[in-house]
Amino acid sequence: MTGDNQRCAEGSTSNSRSDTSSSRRSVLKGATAGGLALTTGLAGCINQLGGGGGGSIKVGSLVDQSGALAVYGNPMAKATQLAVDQINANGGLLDRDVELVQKDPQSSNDKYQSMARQLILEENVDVLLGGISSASREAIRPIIDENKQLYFYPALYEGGVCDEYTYLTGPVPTQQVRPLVEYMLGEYGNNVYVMAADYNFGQISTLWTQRYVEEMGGTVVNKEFIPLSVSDFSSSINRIENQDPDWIMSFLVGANHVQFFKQANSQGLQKPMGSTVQAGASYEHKTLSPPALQDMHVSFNYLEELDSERNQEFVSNFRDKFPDTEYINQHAQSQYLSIQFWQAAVKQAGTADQQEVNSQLENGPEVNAPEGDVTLDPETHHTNHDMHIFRVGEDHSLSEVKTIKGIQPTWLQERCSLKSESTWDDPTTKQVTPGE
Amino acid sequence: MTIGATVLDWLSIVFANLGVLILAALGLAIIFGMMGIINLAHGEFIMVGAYATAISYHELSAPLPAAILIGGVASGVLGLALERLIIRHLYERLIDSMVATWGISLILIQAALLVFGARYPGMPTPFGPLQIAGVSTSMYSVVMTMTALALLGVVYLVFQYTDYGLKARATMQNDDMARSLGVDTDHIYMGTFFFGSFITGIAGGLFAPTVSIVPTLGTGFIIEAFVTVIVGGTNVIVGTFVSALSLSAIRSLGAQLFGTLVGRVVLLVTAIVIIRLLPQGITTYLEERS
Amino acid sequence: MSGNERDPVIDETADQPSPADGRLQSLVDPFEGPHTVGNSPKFWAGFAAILLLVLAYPLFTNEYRVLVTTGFFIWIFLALSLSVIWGFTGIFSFGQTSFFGLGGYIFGVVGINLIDVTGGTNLALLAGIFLPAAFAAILGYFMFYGRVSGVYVAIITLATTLILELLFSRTAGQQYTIGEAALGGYNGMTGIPSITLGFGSTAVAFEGVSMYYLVVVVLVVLYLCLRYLVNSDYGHVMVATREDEDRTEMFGYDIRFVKLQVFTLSGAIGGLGGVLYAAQGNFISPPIMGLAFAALPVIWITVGGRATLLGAIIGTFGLRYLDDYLAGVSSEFSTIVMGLILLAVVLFFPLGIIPTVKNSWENSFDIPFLGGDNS
Repeated sequence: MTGDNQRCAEGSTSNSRSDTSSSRRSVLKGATAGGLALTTGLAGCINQLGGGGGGSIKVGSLVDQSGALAVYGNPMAKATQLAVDQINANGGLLDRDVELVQKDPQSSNDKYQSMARQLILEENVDVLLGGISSASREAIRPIIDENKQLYFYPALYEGGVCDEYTYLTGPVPTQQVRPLVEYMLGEYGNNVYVMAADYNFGQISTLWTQRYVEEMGGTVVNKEFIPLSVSDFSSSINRIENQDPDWIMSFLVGANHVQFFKQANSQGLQKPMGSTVQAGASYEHKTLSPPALQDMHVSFNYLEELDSERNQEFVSNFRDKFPDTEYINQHAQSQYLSIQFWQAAVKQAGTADQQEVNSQLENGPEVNAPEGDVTLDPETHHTNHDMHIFRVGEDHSLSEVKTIKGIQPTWLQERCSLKSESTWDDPTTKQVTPGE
Repeated sequence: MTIGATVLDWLSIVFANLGVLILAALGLAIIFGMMGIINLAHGEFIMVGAYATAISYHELSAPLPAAILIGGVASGVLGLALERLIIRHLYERLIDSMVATWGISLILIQAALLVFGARYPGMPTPFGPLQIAGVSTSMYSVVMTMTALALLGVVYLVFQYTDYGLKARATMQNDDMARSLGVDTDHIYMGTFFFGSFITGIAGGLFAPTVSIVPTLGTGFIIEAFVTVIVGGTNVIVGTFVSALSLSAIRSLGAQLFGTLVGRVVLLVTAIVIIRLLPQGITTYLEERS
Repeated sequence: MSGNERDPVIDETADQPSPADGRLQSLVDPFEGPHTVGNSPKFWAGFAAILLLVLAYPLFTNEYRVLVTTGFFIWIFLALSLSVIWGFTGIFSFGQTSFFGLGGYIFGVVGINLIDVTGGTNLALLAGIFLPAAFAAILGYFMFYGRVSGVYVAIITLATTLILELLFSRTAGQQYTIGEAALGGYNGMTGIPSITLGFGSTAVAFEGVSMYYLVVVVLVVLYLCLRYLVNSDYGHVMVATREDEDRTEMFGYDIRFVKLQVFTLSGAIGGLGGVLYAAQGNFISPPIMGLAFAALPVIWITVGGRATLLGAIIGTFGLRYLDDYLAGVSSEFSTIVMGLILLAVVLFFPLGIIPTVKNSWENSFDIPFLGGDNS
């Protein structure tokens, strides 16, 4: 079965979900579906004729460019555009044009759902990228699974997604948190205070931090969870001063939480800090006036400041095309990287057919990304990353203090075997959390 | 930590928080108290004040106090324009004013995004830390609270000792009567809306060095402002102050003991309880007592 | 502070049209009255025609549009829940999303746990309706028997939905798993089953097109039931409470109890909407109980026309459709256009679109809007 005709040829209500959700009989659905099969199937086929065969290959992208997450999303949207334009400039993919359909869900889970459906069912995209917050990813994953849509999630997150159709190109706690904790414990001492955003990412990242800290002989003296809408940290800062930890671990997210650093600074709190979100994802070192972020240490697979020839070329291409870019963050590079992986797999497969491309992705391709040479881990659908620990100086300049090469998502590897155990038609689609 | 130190800690936070609540709520209280208008765009008036302050700080190199004044004026002018164009048609229509101001809020947020982008450069927080009796706080937050209290005083003076203030109070009590006594209530409403928006803009300007300058910066204040105003009742000054003080105290206690989330929940629960016990708000309760 | 709202002008004369067919008319009688728009054979004919179009819609559109339209219909439940308590009984609740969200979450928890046991979500469906209704009853008792009124009800109900949002956002850890259902915190609860009626291997799951039909049928039934209710004697009590509480009380009605009953009903309707929402998306998350969603039904109903069921339905469907369309076409300007539309409606259609259209139609053409003699 070649090309996008797969869905067309599947006949009845295309992208049907009879298998994946449950084994419930669906008499009514079946009858109606059967009756409508012809019309919808035909309509779907007619829809396909444009995109099948020699037509363009469609890339769908859902990235917030307005609302609370716009800060992360704006560079992402640009990176996706850059990647697609570069492909087309080099003759396209499989001699076909690549068409980008990029939508802005306005930081609303509801819109993520409806736009995901639209891209999958109406635009018939050959691959879907995007989602920023874990919430948005979880909102669309049922739709992805239902419709067997190939999907790349580019953001750093709390880890654990084990889904046949989903590929994750951002780093996970095993990759980000562990090396950072090790470094900070060694450099600054054993007593850690954790400040985290009060939702899944913050809560689970804190779990990981605690695990690693204790494993390495340290102590978490306190952990605070701050709801996303809160911007007043006076009581937290007082507490930190009283408990006097050696360093602070931050999983603070969003425009409100950024105030912590300003307020800490103005209250005279001077502690070394670590984070897997600051600087590389939300680029506070650009948006806050120095020295608010001074002595922050961050661990990322990618920062715009990465000192390599390849990255410098990427950055200059990016900024040439988009001169008013504030910062190229981890999320942006991951979108770019996702397209690189996908492109490589499509070329290998010789087709844009999603099931075929998925098989090629499970061969663990390696690509030359701006962050370095990266490979996909076939069993977990996650990416192996090199990690870089950077320190933020008094003037908010970044300097690299440590590099750790080739970290695999080992924790998940023990719990997730997509290549061996999951198939396109009988998939695993779960998220594991620590404690399982 | 000793009990004394904990209490001092709590007090310093209550003090700081009191200022934030008063600032966020005062402009809304003026408008609500006078005209019963529920301005769902209130957060965006704060946002406009903050943006104007940040912009004049960066583009015009204005010193902070001047920048804040500019913020106040910007919001005031915006309020005036909106009042003339839209709000004045809705004085008898409480709920419709909510819908209209919600629409205004959507427009303002998106306009800020389109014109200034996802984030505008922020401002440094002036002054630095303050150490009192072993408790440290930010000097600026002390300044904010002092300014908030001063603003309360200013509002009081305006309402008590100016011509406008007299007419405004009369209109608030009974606008038909005031009108029949020759007060141009139309102008009073306009003036009050300007005044309330101006105060809100000042609040936004004061907040500017402590928040990220993003289009949605106002949304974090709106709920607390509303709760403070409704619980306070129609008396702009005493109601707002008492309400802000009690909510701040209880919320800070909750946050101190159990974490920020509990603090937030406790704030809302306290509001519910107070309303249940004093179904017409604190002001009416106090009035009935005296 | 009670609002001095202009009372929607729905005329109260109730001359019955002379029946073309006595029996047919007496069938339709209980569904007609002064509190709903459209009281004539012409209206019902039109209603039937539109219903047929709605039922036929899936035949000439694609699957995506069916799903999206089902979503619009589901929001109408939220709007109707506000309509009965606010439009008809005059109590401004800003927190109907509490019941909507609770309904969805309860359906999710019970559904995920029981679907493998019984094969269906029957109990989940019932729980998702009755438990939010019970919660509404408790909250209603707290408020109305405490003589809380006006804008204070709005604040309490708003605070309630916000508290729920905060609490549910906090449930991300493993310990917040009820049986097999992980509440999921801010990320939300996934894996919620679709509505599955029946038991064991003969259970019927409603998804896609069949879900569309299920929602349409339930919505039509609900609409007819509410029409019946508001045009009945009880409906008169509801409206009387809205118009003048004291006078109604003097007539001997315990309006605290009336408000409590209607509020509980609104909780049930909201819960039902939440169930359908969670079942359709197989997902629910805390923002559904946040400020933005709490304000939406207020806006839909104000635009459509507060005091009529039809206004609630058309306002909701129209605005949801518009929002979806605009977001897809130009996300940059969609919220601005939306804001402008809200302003335009409030300024130029003060009673909402349906009543204004009705009044201006009747003023210009001197014939009844949507038929009937009640003009």
